[in-house]
Amino acid sequence: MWNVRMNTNFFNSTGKITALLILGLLLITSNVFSQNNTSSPYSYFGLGERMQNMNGNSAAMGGVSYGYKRGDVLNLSNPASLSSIDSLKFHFNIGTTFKFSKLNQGDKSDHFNDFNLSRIAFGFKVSHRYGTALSISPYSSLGYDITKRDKILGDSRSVIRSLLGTGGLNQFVWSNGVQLSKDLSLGVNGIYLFGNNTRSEDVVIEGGASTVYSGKTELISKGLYFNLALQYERTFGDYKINFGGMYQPNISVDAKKITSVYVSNSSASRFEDEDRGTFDVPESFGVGFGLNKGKHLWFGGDYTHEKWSGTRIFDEATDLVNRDKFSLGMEYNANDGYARKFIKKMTYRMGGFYDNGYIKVGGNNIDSYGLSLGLGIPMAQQKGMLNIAVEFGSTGTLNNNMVREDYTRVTIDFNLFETWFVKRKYQ
Amino acid sequence: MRKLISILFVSALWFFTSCNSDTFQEHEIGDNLIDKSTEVHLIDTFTVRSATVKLDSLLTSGYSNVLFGGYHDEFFGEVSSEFYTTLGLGGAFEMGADANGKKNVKLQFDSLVFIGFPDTRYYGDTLQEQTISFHKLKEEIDLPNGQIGFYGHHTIAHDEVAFGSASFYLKPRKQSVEIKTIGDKTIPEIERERDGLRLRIDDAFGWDIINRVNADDDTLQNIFKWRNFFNGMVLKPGSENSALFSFKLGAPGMNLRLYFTYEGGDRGYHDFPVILAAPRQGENGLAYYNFSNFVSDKSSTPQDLGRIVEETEELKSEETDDLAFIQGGIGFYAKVKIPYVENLNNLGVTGGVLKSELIFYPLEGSFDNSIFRLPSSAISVYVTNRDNNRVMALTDSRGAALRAVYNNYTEHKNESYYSIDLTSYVNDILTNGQDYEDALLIGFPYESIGNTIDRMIIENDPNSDFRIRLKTTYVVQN
Repeated sequence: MWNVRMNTNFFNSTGKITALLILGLLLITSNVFSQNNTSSPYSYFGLGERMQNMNGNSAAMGGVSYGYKRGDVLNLSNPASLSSIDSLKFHFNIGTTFKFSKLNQGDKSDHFNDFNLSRIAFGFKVSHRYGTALSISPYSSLGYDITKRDKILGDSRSVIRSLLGTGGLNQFVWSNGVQLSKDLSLGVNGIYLFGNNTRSEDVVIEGGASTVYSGKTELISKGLYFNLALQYERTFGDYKINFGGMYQPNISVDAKKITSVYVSNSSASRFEDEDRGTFDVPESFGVGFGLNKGKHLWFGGDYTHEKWSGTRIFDEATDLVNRDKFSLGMEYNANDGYARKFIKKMTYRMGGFYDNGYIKVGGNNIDSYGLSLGLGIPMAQQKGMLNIAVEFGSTGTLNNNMVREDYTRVTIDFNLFETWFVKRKYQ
Repeated sequence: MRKLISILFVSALWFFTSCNSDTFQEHEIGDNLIDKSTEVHLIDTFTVRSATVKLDSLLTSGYSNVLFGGYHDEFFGEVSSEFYTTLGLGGAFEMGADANGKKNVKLQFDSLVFIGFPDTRYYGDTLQEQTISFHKLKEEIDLPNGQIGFYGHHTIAHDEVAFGSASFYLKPRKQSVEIKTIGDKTIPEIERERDGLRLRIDDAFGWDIINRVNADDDTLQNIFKWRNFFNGMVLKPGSENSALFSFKLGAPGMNLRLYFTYEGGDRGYHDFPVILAAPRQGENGLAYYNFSNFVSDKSSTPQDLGRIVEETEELKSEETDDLAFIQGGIGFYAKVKIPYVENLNNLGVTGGVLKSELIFYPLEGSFDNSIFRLPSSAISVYVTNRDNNRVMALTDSRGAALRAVYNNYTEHKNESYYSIDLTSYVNDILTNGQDYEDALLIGFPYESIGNTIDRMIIENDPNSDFRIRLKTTYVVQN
């Protein structure tokens, strides 16, 4: 049997982790730092802009993750991979994303910088065959701020409409991976989806009128869903191939919707309503493969399908569309274990993706594509890895006077290890 | 090392969070992507019913001026105002002392003059000659308990025969000033003869007073005896007067001035002033012992406005050629009902009023630029009920009384209109509902209507472009 003993002060570490988790929760869920995770007008649609919350390794490879398995990486997109994380270590992963974007429309453009914490996770091996992880990451974000001039029907004057979307949904995920046989691992993510999508609309008559009409809707999510995953691995001589898969059923997530309407200079609110209901997370599946050649080279590809079409938000049909995402990526680990030069110690990654998006505006799918590059930099004394990914991408189109967002997204992600479970030779 | 990394990491977080784009800057990009969840409509087809009402108990005491005179109005008939007042003694009036110190020098009557200062307000035709007559009151001006002033319908019995009368031409602007100096030389009061309105009246009353002074009668030495002797007077306009105008009370105010000469030659005078407020006999505090009495004969007006008698009555515009009337002094208000405004609540899920304006036009041809001008006074709005009680005055968002605004189009004069911002009022109706009898009173501010000259005729023909309208910009939440 496996004898577990810690050589560091467990309680000290737990304290630190708890502190970091609380900090992470604050950063992700609150407006303490008045951050907005996105500035895209497309975040008006659906549940908001879907957030990338993959680890730094995947981010550098176009998001490939289903067939990816490494002992030093918490690959939560495929929890089956957790069955083979390094058993002697406590894994801690924190990722941050900086997005520098330029919105283009016609001959106008606008620049935004958005920062967000993309995830905090920790995980460890419970037993030889079972690994588990807890993580917090954003699921979707609202960050639109649009001013619009509209005609008053029956009048020559206009109104100015200000539409503001803030907040977003976050997920608290318990990931579990179990190795069933030498080749096959299964995984499950249990997800608590929480947060607050707040949309407000202010209307005033253009030019000096003092009365403001303010409508506000909050979608407050407090519900559970899950997804299942597997990884199947075979070795052929120098090659190792790994197939990954993911399935998520359509689940109605419990939520609350609060609607209120105020008119300034008026004594009471015009309308207040609190409604309990659900919104759908779509049935989804994903398949992918990963191919290792020797110890240094890895190549993989993913396909994900999310059935957003037909999903409902508070019993109202959405006009969302099904999403397909294709990713390809590769990784080259230059370190043969004896490297002395820094360059030789690093891991190099690259990849690309195409995503047709889950919203359709004016007949156009709001799709995205991008290329990514990345580095994995080992930290001293095998304390962890620093992964940096840079993604150059584009969302939307300029056709039909729509908005295209050109962005550079930099992901900085720390994988930290703490050696917990070492059986000392001499006590 | 680990500590260092943690510190670096947290500082980096702080650093990067602070370079986020501002959340609340305006962005035009993407404005065409958003579909509407609200629609904004301009609606001005609400039924607006109107009527004319006449409010009672219009206070005409206590102002720093008094309305006097009368005119004939094509729409409102004969309108006139008489002024009832007590006359102060102005200090003991006794025989004089001459330059040699000789006492009880007798006085010689010279003349009795009425002095008044019009202010610049007037209504009607000032080119005609106006007359004024002075009548003694037969009773004392006495206030009922607890009342400090008089209402416009009050009268007091008086002599039919005047103790004085005069004719004059009104020059409101010129006669309103006091000429106290010529160059840097101050003119002594006794020599000032050209400022204000100075009217010499019959001598008889002046002789009576002088004789009493020379007889050392204490009627002119004791205020209470003086009041018993002279109850007060009423100033009446002649029936042919063509202007209603305003006299100042206070300084300079109204006087009866008695000029005399001392035996031996020096000139002198004594003023009997009209006092704004006087101590109450037998009670504490001051009270106003003067007031205007408004009289209006509307029996032969084209819309027969004499039909309105009681305050609780209303004369619907349908019965008065689709017109509504407002008039100061007499107390006419336009009563406006918008019964179906609550129907806005049936649009969409909910909604709100961005702007709601009541718009009305003065009847074309009912006013001109010289004689029957549009009101210069403020026009107020009151919430009212079936009995025409003033429930409350409407105020703006800062709490100031709501006023009608005149939107003057000099190019197209007949398109000029009045508007009242009813946004808050209508939003409150939508939220809290209204009773069927709820309505608005539109007219001159009630607290000063007893001292307001103006009048206006409002058009409300439902088939006309110039009807009263509620123009409402409404946001419908779908």
